[in-house]
Amino acid sequence: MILAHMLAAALPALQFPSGGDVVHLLPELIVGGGFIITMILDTFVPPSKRTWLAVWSLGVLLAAAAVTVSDWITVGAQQISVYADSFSYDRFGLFINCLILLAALFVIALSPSYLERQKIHHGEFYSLILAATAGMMFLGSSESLMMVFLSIEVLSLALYLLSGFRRGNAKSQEAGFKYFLMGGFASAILLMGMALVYGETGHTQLPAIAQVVASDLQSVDPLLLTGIVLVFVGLGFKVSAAPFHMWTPDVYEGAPLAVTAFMSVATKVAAFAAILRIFSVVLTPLYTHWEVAVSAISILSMLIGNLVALRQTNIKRMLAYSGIAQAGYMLIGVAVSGSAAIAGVLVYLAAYTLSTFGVLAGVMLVAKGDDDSSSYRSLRGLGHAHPYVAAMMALSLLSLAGFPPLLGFWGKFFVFASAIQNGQIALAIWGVLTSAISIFYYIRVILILYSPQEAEKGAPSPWFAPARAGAVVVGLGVAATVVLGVFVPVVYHLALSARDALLVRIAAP
Amino acid sequence: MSTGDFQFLLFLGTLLFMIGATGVLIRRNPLVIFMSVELMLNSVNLILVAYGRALNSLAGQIFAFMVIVVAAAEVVVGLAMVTRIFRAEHTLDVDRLDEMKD
Repeated sequence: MILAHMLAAALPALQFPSGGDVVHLLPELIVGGGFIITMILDTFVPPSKRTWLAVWSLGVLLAAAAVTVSDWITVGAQQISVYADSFSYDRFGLFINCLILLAALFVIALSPSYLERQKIHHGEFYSLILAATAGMMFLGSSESLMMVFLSIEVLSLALYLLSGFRRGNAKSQEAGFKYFLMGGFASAILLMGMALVYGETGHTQLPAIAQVVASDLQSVDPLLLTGIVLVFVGLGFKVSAAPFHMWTPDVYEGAPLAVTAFMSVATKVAAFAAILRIFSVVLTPLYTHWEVAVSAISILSMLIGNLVALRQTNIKRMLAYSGIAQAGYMLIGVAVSGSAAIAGVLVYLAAYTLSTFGVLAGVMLVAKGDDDSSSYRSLRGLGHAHPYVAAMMALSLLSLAGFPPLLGFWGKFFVFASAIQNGQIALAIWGVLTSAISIFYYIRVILILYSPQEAEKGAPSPWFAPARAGAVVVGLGVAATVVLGVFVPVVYHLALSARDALLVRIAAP
Repeated sequence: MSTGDFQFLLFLGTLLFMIGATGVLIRRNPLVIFMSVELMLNSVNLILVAYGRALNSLAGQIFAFMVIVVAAAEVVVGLAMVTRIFRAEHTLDVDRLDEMKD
């Protein structure tokens, strides 16, 4: 009796989260829940039936994608605070969700045959990919320093394990462990930065920080600036910008191709979402204080990435350095900090996702042996043996190099144009010059693909025949690069409305 | 808490963070590097809690709790990887882990 009385008294005091907030995070929660269910399912599914886990994961991702698209239509231009500004429900986050889900869908669609051939078809692969995807999606909509940190850790922990997924292979183990040590170090630096930002502004929620930063411009605290720099270093590590890029080539090379393809694309998208939310919106009032540092990192990334990529002889390493250079181009968009630049970066992210994935997915379709057929030598003559695969890779490489009318050209075009608009002509010129260098190493790979094969007659083919379903998926991705490149106003329009949603609550200058 | 106490805590946290960062950069044993990373995370905890107290806001404490949880998860992943590397290579020296080079 007394117990019932106490319960009745306590019930109104228990604050349940309102249903509305859960609904706003539905895409993220579907993938997060899918991760847990996949982990449980994995214990029941016999090894020969693991392809069904892939089918199930695809279903989870498609459901999340469907909700994301319908959310895009219903949310309109609003920006809705979820769980007291922990997350923001807006078109910007949904745009990022779309890119990440696209990368995850592609990877999981290609994985079963690849993992089977590499003899690493373990069920954890799917649950870990879903966990990383969920972390990335949360990062895309995080609007509090705490949630940014937690999401980064969720995605990183899953990726550390995935990089070391080839269990018997020393390279893969080494890749996972290096990534883990460097990632932990970067997280600690990021966290220190967040602690200082929190301490000096008194808030962990970005909108509140934005208000404090905007209201108190006269006396800029050196500790706050230190914090901002440390946060940028931490995020710069995740996008592998130049002085913090050391881990990238080794991790990309050692990790299995499926993991390389996924993390090279999706991690960069998610981390750039956080950089745009924090630097291009919240910290714009302090723009003059961090502009030089970001420009310097951008210039350095373009230089180091492009120059070192020239002398690579392994396509994974080449794409790692090319990814460093691409991060540099995208950082131009952060450094010029105009509202047009944000849309440019979003288009660039879409182009980078499709093109980088197209190259690595092409190799994934035919990869044989411990090194994933990723050295240039083992790709020689692929164009004659598997013309369809080579053609898709060539188109993606041309898009990365920035040939019009492919999507990669438009990404560069919008970012450089926004730099010129904002009077940062030197940055734009530097970008154009370094992308001229990049054409050499992209074209070199295309030449290798179509050079005559050296193998003797009768020797076993150095490649597997591509699985038909996988080839169709890669074909769709590459077709999107071409079609969206021709109809680029569509992408730009979507990027613009994502950009507008980002600026609703915190007006940019 | 007086201003002096707060400044001392901030100083102590920064010092521990620096010691951790130095450890990561100069030590060669992965386990020690790993401990240094943990030291860095926990020094940030100290700073977060000190700021939370000084600002009279709970966010610092909550943040510190989250960091503790994350650090625990990192230990799980890290130790699993260390044991696997040791089984494969029978060495724990990051300078010997150089399968991949430019």
